[in-house]
Amino acid sequence: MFFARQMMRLSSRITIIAVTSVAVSLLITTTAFVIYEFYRLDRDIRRHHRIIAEVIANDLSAAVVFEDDQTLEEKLHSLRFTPAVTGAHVLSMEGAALVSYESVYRDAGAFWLQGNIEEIRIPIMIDEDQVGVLVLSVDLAATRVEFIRTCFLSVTLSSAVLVVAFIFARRLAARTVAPLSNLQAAMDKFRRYADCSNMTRVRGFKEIVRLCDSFNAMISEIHSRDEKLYRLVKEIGEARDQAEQANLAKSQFLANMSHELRTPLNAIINYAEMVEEELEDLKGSTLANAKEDMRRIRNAGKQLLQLINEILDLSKIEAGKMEVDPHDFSIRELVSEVINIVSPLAEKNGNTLHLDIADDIQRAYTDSHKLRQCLLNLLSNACKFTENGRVALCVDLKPGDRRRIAVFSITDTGIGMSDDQMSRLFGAFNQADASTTRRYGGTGLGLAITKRLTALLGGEISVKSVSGEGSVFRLGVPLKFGRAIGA
Amino acid sequence: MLLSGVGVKAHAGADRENELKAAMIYNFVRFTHWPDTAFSGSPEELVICSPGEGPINAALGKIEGKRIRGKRIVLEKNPDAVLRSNECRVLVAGQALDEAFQLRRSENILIISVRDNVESDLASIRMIRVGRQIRFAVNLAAAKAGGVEISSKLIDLAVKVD
Repeated sequence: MFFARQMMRLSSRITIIAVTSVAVSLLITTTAFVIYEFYRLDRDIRRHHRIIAEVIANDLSAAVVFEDDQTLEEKLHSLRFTPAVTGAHVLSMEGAALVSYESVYRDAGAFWLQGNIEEIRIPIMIDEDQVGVLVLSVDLAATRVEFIRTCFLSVTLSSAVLVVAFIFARRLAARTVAPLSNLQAAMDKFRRYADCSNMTRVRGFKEIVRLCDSFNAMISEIHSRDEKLYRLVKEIGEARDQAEQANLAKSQFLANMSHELRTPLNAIINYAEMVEEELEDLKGSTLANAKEDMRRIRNAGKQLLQLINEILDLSKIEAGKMEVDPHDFSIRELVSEVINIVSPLAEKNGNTLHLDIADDIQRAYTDSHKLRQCLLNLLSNACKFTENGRVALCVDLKPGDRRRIAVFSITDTGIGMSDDQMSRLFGAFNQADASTTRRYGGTGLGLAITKRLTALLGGEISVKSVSGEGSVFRLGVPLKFGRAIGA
Repeated sequence: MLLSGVGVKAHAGADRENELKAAMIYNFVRFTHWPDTAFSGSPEELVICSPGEGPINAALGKIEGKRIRGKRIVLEKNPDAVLRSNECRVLVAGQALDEAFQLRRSENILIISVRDNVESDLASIRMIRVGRQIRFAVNLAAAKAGGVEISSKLIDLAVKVD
């Protein structure tokens, strides 16, 4: 409403400015015209009556010299058609009045029109000789009458022009303000509801149309930036959530690590103390126990070493310092080796282990150590999270791909994972959840390392799982290093 | 002004009347125009011929020597000279000079008849007595025949225009 009042003020202001400009111009021009007319009328009436006097004086010369009073009177009487002439006299050279004329209009006008009598004296000549004088008395009141008439006409015309100017000014103001009001309404709507669905369209002056177009462009830009900002905020939020998740995972990892580190260290320390005590006794049965204690010390040390290796591997990958060492090797031998390694773990949990290799899978040129580590991680996990079930490794070529991609499918009938767990599966320090770590142990670095190593080999990894039914990990690796799957 | 008071009002006395007539003749001349060739013989003079020794000549003597449009008025009263001269631009007709009128009508000459109420086709201007006043009549045909132009101002004052 404030803006509406401003608009109203602007409208009135435009009208006032326009009308005032016209009024001032009219006042100046009318005043100048009236003044000019006053002097022009005064000059003209004097000149006009002087000419009349000269004509009459010229016509009187014969009558004067012949002292023809009748003719003189008749000629002077012709002045009755000139109302401004109030009187006339024909004087002899001696100054005696030969004849006189007095107008019937004399003193007939209003008192304010009387009193300004101009006396015109014209010599009556015959050739070079002056024979008399014609004296004409002219009442300049006619000038005033004409002047008043001119003033009245000027004021009337000026008033009419002013009325027309007022009407045009009102229309001009309305034409100027209406589009601005529409624009203001659109801006208000945008400000209140952020609604820019309907672009403002106005018609009128070019500048206002341009202003409206600029406004529309600005609104579009704001809308576009809002969308970008919304996306950015969403991405930042997601990044923040991921960071928080990662931080939480790290905290969880540290908590687990303290346990994982302490457990083998405690075992090493305790069993070392026990071996020390047993060696002090040096009795036959005690030596047998010492041998078993030494084996446990060795296992705890290996477990600790594996843990430290994984941490170092991940750090090396994250730092981009893990290098690929491609070479030719037999996939079949590699797979057999891996199966042999994980067989004890499968047997420990009562699982059956199956292997199926396609006939056309023979040799590969890539980093066999990294591929072995990936397969070991996946198969170890499958065996670890499956009890009394089935774990299978199937190796085949990816169909219809000229790059010859070897696909290693690791299938288990284990505990499986939910969608939420799968979404966090390949993050560092992640396992399905904290309870999983407590129950099954492990650092949670295995899958993170596997994914990164797969990427280093130019391959990719995917997972499908149903909670409570099992999981399928698919590891695709080019048989020849350098032909990345995504390339 | 010589003519002031020498109006058309006739006053008692023959002398006064002749003075009036002489003044009227002077004014007639002022409102009459001759072609320039009319004064080729004597450019500085305007000769008024009034033959004889009539009473009018005495009055005309008072205007002799005056100048009209730069020309000095010369009065020629000798009848023989009048008959011989080609310089007469004004012929004042008094008594029994119709013959003279006849002789001079073809020249650039203004013939003025000063005889009261006498009809004449030869005079361009003839004086007429109207009551106690002396007025004049203009004969434009005679003026044209005499080779002179009479001003319309003078014609306006004429009681009769033929």
